[in-house]
Amino acid sequence: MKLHLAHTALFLVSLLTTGCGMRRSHSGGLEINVQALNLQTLRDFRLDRFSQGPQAYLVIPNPIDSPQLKAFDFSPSAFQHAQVAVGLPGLQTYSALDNSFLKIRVHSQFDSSDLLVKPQELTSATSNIQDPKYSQVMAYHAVSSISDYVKALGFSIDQSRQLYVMVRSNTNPEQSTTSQTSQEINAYYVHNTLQPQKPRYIQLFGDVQYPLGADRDVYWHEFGHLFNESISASRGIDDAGEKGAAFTEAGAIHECLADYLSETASQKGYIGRWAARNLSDIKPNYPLRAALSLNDSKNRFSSVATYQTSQGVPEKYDVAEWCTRVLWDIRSQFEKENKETGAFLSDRTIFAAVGMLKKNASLVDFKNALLDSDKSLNQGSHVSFISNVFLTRGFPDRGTPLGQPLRLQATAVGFKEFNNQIYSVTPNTSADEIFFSIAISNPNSGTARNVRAQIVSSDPAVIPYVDFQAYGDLAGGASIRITGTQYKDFLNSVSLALDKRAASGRARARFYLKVSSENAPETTLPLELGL
Amino acid sequence: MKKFWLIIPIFLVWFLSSEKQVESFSKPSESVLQKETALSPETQPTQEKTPTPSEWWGVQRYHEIQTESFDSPLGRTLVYSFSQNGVPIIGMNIRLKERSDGALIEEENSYRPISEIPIHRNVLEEQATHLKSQSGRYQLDGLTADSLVILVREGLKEGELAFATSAVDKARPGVPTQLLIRSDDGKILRKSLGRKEF
Repeated sequence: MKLHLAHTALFLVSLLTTGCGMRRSHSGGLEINVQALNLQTLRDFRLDRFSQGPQAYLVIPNPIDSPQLKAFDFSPSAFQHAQVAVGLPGLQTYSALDNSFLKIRVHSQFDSSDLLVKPQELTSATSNIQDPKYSQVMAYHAVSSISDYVKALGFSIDQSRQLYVMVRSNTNPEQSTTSQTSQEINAYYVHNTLQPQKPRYIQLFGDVQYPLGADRDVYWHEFGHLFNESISASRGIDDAGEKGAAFTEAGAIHECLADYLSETASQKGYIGRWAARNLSDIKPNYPLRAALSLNDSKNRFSSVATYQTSQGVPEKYDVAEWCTRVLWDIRSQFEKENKETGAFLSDRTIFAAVGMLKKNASLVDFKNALLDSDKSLNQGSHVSFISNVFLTRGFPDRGTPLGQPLRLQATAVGFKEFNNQIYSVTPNTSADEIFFSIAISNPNSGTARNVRAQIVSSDPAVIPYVDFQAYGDLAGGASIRITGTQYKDFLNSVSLALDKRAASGRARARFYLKVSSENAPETTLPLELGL
Repeated sequence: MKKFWLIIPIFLVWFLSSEKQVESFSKPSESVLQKETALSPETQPTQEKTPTPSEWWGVQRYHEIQTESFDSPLGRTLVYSFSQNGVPIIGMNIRLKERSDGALIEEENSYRPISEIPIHRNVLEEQATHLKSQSGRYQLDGLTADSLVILVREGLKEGELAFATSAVDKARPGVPTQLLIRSDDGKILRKSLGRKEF
């Protein structure tokens, strides 16, 4: 509580010194437009003041990060003492924590009513942190509060479909029968791009000692994916990831922004310290990921984004974590310029940039969008700072131009299911899916930036499934090899199927495999397969 | 020659008037209202016979239009998606991006005037039942005839009826998979994999 009083005092002082809360940037005296911000809502949010609607009591954001529960003490009395009152605005039914957009459930979309928290029993629902009822209350609070936050920044949310949040989800959220308790500890956001009649889902898995459902960070991260799709008007900034690409820079950007939303809104600079307690490979009290610079390998771009023969393609979450550190540096600079509104203006600038991203965006696109966003919203007063942050974090932009195109060799490999087994078959129409055994080499001495393989075809007899894969940065003289004999060996490759019916009597289907990077000439390999 | 100079102001007036028409299209308050009204299938042409956005884009009478609007501090994006007899069409839409001052700064238009597709519900029910009963790589327990879409693919002049469904892929059983399956022969036309993990 003392911390809250200190924050309130700080705001009052800053209000008095600035006059009605409207401030100008300190950098070069350039005017920054704060008109789109709903400052009152943002201030309340920062103080964890959520007073609208029926009251519930929660330990926020989670027991390990609660200012009221610093010692790792889960005794009932300590837990009860740490709970703070939060309002749940906009509840519209008596049978569940629901409104016209947000629906909170336990296992599935069609849970029986006895599993669900009713608004009239909020107090009793929050006495046991392991109880799914506690998670339901946290879910409603988390999603409604983060929605208010991004709206106060000037963004709208895609509410064209309902959002169901399952706090202990069945694998299939449409299956009403309760499945076995999931051993998986994870959370997904499902946009249901291919199923326009279906709602969106946030699914949390794992009935574990430290339930993910009791951590506000988890909901804020997953909501971040919906927010990314809203800002970009579902343009498909990570289209390839949705189709099954193992790695793309766009996939890393999507995760980066979801982490950043949670990290900035909570003002913590890290995510998942509570959830990480379930994972033996993370040291006690360490977070799952951090935007703050830790003494690890995620501070430099080359450490996270380089293709390595031993490890394969870069890990999407490592690149995402590096990216959040860039964004956190930007946020820190805005905050240095203006303690009161800096973080909000930073968030607005960063998320507005997402609206400029194209399909399958790259990190170069993202950096340029951030610069353009700053020019539009802040008269470009942070352009040199943003450029420098990327440079300081080792981002080579497009890299040094390379003279030689990358070399590509590819062989088609078909796979077909029979009696629950997947067999290698001739790559023609008899195959369920055709992959490519690929070898890409960089004959240059310099590194090729953001190497991608792509299927290019306007032939309707070619149905690309995974049409785009990225492999990270490829050092001079190095090679990428994707080959094997089993289906799982090709998950980093591109894939397609053949459609004889769309071939109009032709015996062969034609397409190209293209290898591109930010700084080497493109390589295009014409291919054809028999139908 | 003197008469020729008289033509110039006439052209100038014509040019400016046609400019205004484009400008009003990009102003959000007026333009959006105009579009949303005009996009309703029941709307009658105005007395001035100004072409409606539907007419500009050549939207067929049997294509219903849904509009979504996304606001950001930099402006607004309007997305027009299409359906036929309530069946969503995947693969074509129109996106308009407006700056915060209302100026239209980007238009992406993948709309195509594909022919109306006959939709026979009883046939679709049979097709859905048949596909579910077949043993194959994908387990299709959730497939229903109601989850129908029309897919527009590059290189094909017409749309294809497909069932949109969640599935279990026997090659990757732990990965949530969604499919578009051509209704009459079960061909997988598109796949999507769940991957946004915490």
